[in-house]
Amino acid sequence: MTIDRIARARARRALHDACRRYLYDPNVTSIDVGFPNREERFDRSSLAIRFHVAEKLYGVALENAALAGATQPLPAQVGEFETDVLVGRYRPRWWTVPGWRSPAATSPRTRRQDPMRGGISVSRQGAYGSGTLGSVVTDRATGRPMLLSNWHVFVADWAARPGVAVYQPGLTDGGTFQDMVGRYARDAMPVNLDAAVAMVTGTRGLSREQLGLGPVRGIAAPEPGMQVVKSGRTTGITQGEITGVDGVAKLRYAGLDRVIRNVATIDPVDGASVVSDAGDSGSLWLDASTDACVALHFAGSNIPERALGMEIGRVLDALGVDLA
Amino acid sequence: MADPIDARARQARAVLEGQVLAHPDVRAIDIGREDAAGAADRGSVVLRVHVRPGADRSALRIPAEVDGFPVRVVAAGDYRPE
Repeated sequence: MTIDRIARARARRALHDACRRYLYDPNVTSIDVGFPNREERFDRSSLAIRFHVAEKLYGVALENAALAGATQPLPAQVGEFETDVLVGRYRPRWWTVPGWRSPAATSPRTRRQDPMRGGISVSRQGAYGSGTLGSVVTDRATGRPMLLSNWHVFVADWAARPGVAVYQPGLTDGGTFQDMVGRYARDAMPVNLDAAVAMVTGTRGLSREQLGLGPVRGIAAPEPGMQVVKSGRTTGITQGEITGVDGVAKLRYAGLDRVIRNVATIDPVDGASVVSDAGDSGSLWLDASTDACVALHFAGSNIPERALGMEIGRVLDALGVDLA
Repeated sequence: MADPIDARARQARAVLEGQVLAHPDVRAIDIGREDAAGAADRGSVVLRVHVRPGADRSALRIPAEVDGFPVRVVAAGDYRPE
């Protein structure tokens, strides 16, 4: 069934009215005209004014939120149109498109570095985004140096085979074929860890320091309450507090849902607004008081602001490498 | 001194994982510390379930405790690889 032009014009007028009254409600993330959702299906025979909210609230919770000024009850009807409420939090998908969030052009993190050290931009061939070089590590079997970051930074393709080129800086940060510094060697996804290492090509010097933080002093197990710090490609040096350990988290990688294990949860400290963002993947989280590495950063969220890392000891064992 | 996070807690976390991680509104499970203001057992070990905001928590059937460890629900972020 089609919606005639007159109905759509009336809906737009109602939408305008709804936006004027409700768009600045802190819980409302968007308002549009669309098909109402009835019993898990869109009713395509009518139009509704749809409120997208960060959280659906009912009853006492709604009353309390309204009293606190966090939201207001939404109307059942706007003009002649019924309303519908959908849950939706939206943000730019920076990490999948060119032009995503980047440090200042003058930042050393996104420029060619020689020697290479932790905290700078890297990517694989064909990447749409860049991540962070975690550290130079040593292959336990051969003693040769390797580069450590995440599977989704060095590989990100379920069909990839060893040999994928790794660039510094990452291709979205201006890296070119002349900046190939390594080739993906192996990863830890089979044991539910988003981590990978690359063989170095020998074209650059290597430093075991973290940009802006200095050397890493061994490894330690993450503990709740531990204050941590990282040096990452996008947000630079940020601090946080570990609030959870031995976690399991569900994420989507290259079209497939995966469970990641040995997760440490890191929340902001003292009201800090940022702990991490897209492009920081691969950073090392260090114990702020000892500079011992406790986790390899791999994921996060903006609402609430939170970072996820994997226990570094598990990562190193799975990959057969050492930090020093 | 805070209780150590030992094998018992990790075993309880694994049990909880088997019970609730498959639910689409559960994004993560970990081990943390009781941080509720005024809680008598502040700092003790708890299991935490990260639940998607807006989820109907009653439908998740999250147990109040597992093997003696209290279970707390925390608001999950939209976790994604960064």
